Amino acid sequence: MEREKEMKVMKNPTIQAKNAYAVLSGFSEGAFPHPRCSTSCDKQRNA
Amino acid sequence: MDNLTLILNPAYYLRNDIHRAIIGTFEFPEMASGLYEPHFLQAIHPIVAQALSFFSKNNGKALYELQNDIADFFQLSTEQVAEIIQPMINNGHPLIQDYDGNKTILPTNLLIEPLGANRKEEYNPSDFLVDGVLDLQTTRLYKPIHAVLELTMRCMTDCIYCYADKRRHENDFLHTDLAIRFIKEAKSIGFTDIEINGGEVMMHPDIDKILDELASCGYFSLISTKIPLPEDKIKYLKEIGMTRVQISLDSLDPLKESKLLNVDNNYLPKLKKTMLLLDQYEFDWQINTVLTRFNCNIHDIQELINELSKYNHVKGIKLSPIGYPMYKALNTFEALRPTSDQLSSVKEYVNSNNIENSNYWILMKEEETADNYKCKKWEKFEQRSSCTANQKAFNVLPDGQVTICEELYWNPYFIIGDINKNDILEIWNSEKARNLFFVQNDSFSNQSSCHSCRKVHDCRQNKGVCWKMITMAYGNEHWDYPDPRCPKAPLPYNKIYY
Repeated sequence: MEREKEMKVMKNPTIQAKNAYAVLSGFSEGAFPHPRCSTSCDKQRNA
Repeated sequence: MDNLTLILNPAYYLRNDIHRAIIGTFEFPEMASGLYEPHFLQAIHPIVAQALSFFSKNNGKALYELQNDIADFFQLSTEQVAEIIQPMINNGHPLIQDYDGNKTILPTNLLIEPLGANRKEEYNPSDFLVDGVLDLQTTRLYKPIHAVLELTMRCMTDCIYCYADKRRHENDFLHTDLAIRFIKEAKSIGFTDIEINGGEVMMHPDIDKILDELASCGYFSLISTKIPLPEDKIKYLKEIGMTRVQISLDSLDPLKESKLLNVDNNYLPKLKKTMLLLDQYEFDWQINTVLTRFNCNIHDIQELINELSKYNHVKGIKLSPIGYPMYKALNTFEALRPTSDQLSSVKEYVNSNNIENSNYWILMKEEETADNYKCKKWEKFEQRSSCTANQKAFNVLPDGQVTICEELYWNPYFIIGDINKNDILEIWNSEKARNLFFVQNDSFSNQSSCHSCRKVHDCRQNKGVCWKMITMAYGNEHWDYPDPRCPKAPLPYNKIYY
């Protein structure tokens, strides 16, 4: 429900700002958690 | 530092995915490898995408100006914005953050100095306004972003090792109007890449019109061909902005090439002329060589590598040990696959110092070994590549039917729509497509160990399984069996490994 509220107010810049710092801060370098999130398909390509 | 100019790495795109934003890597980034995270795709909070959108413009603004813009937009202090942005600059490792119980991951080298490179896409914060419930967990995209158009199954050659299903539809060409309508629709949805494949794409009677439409929508597919292209065609490709061509060449021995491809003796000289022209017109071109027991030896590979050293613009050669051709006669794989000794000697040759010093890449692909199917461990299975079929991408067959992966062709279990009748989002949101992805235990027959496996949700909705391997290993009718590399899977019924 909280999430729903959050997204419904995304278009309101004032309330958006209240969320912005929490959403944007706290990123730090680390290793990919398991499972790795990158994707790669190894196609056969006998062509 | 504040006067620095930074842009969102041109290898990465952002998209609004209805209930979240996504960040991913273009299929063919125009960046040196090592400067971006290949094949990246992650759901991110739309606010993160809004903040990154400020760095997507090729406007040359300094970092302090962008920080002021972001601070104004989100009503944050410039100090707060500086603290947020700092870890994103030239980050050598992925960036990870926990927010509201979700782990958000951003790729390496997120914000970089432009160094002359422009972004091909610019975004605005308003592009990432979303409605409804925030969803940062579902791995299947709400809108697809990638498709492969199989233009025809027809070929000029008749390769003895071909993996394609050519039993039917060899006279079908994807209708030109349909292809063009599809490309326009995909562009309007926000597809990041459209590839073309076959059969022989250059045999489509309207290939120029299709390539023209792709180019005008910003899609510059790799053109993989076995046709010796005349100069006017190469000139045309260059004029419309195509830059990447793959030529398939298995041996410089005319007799071997004729035998492998079922072509006449004039084929090889014509193909070599095409290679010269591609070089002359400065294409980024590469070679794919399928290794069979006839050409998997040092002599043949040395000849190919020596030949390539004569060119200035060749980017590399990919050596691909033949895979299991499931639509050929049963004994084809056993009859054609190189022996272990042959593969070992070529691997050793490729890894030698001499080869490492060449000015183009040489990639020896790994063969499917028996260990993958006989000595199975969970740790190894969990390290498999993710499957993007029906997760972000699908394939259009020459008759317009849509399947989830190229190599499943017309297998009815995987046909999720038809572009003659359905629009792209109808196909993507169809019950068939969704049910193939969001499988439950009762989606599987009693014969399949997935029917009672507790890991089925995690397995199918995260990395997924290789449907192609399943059907190769157990037959089309056992499409609901586990991935043959799964420890719970039975030994393959067909010997698909070396």
